Amino acid sequence: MNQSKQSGNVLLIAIVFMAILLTMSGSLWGYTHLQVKSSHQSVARSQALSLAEAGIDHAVAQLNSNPNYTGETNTSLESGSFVTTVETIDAQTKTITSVGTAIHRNIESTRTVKANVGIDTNQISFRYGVQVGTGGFVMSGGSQINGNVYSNGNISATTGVVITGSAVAANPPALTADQANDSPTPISSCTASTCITYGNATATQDFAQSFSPSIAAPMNNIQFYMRKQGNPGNATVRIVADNAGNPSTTQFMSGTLTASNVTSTFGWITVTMPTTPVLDPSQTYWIVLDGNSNSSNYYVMGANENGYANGTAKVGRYSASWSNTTPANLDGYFRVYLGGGTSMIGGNNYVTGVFVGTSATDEAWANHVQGATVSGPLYCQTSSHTNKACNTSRSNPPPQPMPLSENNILDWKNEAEAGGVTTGNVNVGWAGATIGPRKITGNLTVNGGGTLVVAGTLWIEGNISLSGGGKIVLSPSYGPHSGAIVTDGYVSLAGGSDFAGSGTPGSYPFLITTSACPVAVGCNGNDAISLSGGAGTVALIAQNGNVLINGGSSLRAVTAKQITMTGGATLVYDAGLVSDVFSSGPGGSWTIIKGSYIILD
Amino acid sequence: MHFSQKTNTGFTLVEIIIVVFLFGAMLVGLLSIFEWQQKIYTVEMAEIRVTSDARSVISNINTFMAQGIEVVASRIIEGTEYTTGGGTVIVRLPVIVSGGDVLADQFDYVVFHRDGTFLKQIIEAHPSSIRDSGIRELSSSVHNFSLNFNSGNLPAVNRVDVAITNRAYYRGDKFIDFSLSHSIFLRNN
Repeated sequence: MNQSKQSGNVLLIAIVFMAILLTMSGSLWGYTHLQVKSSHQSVARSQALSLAEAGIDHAVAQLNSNPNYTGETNTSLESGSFVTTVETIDAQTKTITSVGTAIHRNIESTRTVKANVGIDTNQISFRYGVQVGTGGFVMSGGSQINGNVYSNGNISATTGVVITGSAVAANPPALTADQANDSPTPISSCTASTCITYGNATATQDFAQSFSPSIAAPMNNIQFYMRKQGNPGNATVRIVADNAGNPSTTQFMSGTLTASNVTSTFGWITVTMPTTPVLDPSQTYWIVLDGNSNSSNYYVMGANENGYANGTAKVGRYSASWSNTTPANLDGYFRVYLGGGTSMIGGNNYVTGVFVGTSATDEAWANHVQGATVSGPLYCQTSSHTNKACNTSRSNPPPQPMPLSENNILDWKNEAEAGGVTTGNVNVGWAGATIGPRKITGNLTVNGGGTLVVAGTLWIEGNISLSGGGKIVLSPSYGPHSGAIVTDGYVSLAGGSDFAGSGTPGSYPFLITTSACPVAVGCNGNDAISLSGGAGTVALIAQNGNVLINGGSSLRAVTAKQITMTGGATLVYDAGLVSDVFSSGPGGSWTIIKGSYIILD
Repeated sequence: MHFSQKTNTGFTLVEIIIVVFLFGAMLVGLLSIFEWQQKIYTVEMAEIRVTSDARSVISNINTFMAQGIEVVASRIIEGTEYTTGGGTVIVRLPVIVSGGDVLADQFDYVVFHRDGTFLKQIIEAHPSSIRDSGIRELSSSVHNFSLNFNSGNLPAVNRVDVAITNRAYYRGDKFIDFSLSHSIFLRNN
């Protein structure tokens, strides 16, 4: 009996130990399982967020090809799917909500991202239907413009030509800068000693650079090497006196830095300035860029250390306080152009050389007017062979900046190239074609009555030729926006060639050439743009070259370094494009509005 | 007599020795198993901790920084001044109010700050924000933490490369490392 009671102790102990071990194993397994599950959940959440972000980017891309895009459901990607909804706030703003769902190891996770998108509000301003640069306007042979002309050089108008509106000729600027700090450029990336950020905070709201002119001459324009962050507003450029090493509030003249000319990459930006008063070479002056401050929307000025011997840069606030830059010996990149010639309208020794205006408010305004009959006021300093004496109450007219900066055009080129590259020439015949966005490395020819439908920004490295009833129109997807066709070559428009917008009012194609023809190498006698009849609702831009108009033409607007009208040409244009909104490029494709991108869960 | 002799019969010495020996052998075996399992447990726990901590850190930084408007040079929060650089980054965020809308021109601030082996997330939330102000410990086992910005000009930074190595020790000086890196784009810059 005793023997029976004592048996089985070892087994009992073994069972107890086993139970302990099993319990520990179970809890370890349970904890591990929990951690693994948590890890899977974490992976699923990350994947869901990536999917939701992808949905936002996808929706933006869709909006840029179809402005009426409203979203989509259950679009599958490798790790899950997303659902996007697009809500229209107003004509320029939409809200995109994207819900990403990912399943990782049977664990489902959902994340929601929301962002507002808008058309870039940096509109390109075309203030004048016909705007001419330093090359001036040359009219002869009974040619006629139905509208106003603004020229940064002479308006040479002889032998009975007619300008039905006002004619203004500003003094052309000097070709070389009197004061400059402009190397080394370009700036590859910002460091403390190569960039000056301003307009981002109250203490660094404004930028100032001192300089001393070498001659007593009128100021024509100032150039800055700069870029912008976000979407800052225009800035006032002031020339002020020195006050013990800082900018004073004694202002001599001012101009406007147009925000739309500044892009997100560094480039030279021109600000035209009044020609009076003449600056004194014995004095130190400050250039002040006076704007607002916003931590998300501001400017960055290219700079170097001790690059300019006759001045220095400061940051601060106009009419308040100024501080040294950090480091203290920085100079901003700038060029100051002084001097230049004096402007003239006309040219004949008889009063009927040019007829300016058709009403009492149409005016002629230049330093010198010669051989002209003016219906309204004649503002000038000197005149000869005119139907009335000079009204000298106005000084010389200020030159006007050209509407596009180099970086505006570069943005369009980049956008076109992002759509793909076609190597060689492209010929569009009677069958027509739809192209864009696209870069074409050769020439573009449209003829045989064919129509080229532009579905996105085009960049043609070669020449553009429209003839034989060839037509270029914008795709209906452009809606009320305008589109850009950029070429590095020359443009020939002849034989009833035609242009049209998207069909929605306010939409126009802009044909832009960077060509300096006819004076550049390889022009073979061609002008940057040669137009003989036709053309329709298109704006022609040739800021480096000559636009030759021969014969009756109707245009939306024309801007060029020089415009030549011969052979009885008549130019009829619409009102100036005060602020034209582009559906792509610097005029703004749909982009995420900074500060609106949020992750909701 | 015969019955009495049978009931007083005990274990022989040999039997006792054998039982003790077997019992001891079994105990040693069980203890070995226990110790072996304890080692596995310790290592696994360490690995789980460094892995989950690193993932949690990257996930949190990504969630906040993706909404970043800009990287801020310095910020005083609850009396402590934080400065971006080294193991610290301060990001300005749009304020989200209830209903999921953004409060214009108002900001929340989030700081990711390494303090020894700790990585802390400090939030300064606008009164109307759905985010909560406070300090949260994201990891207590940070061995390396680096932040690289794509611009020397902080307001222009729109990409931050984050790398973290977490280290957990077990059995004295033995340790396990786990590294993660991630490039984060500030979508509001």
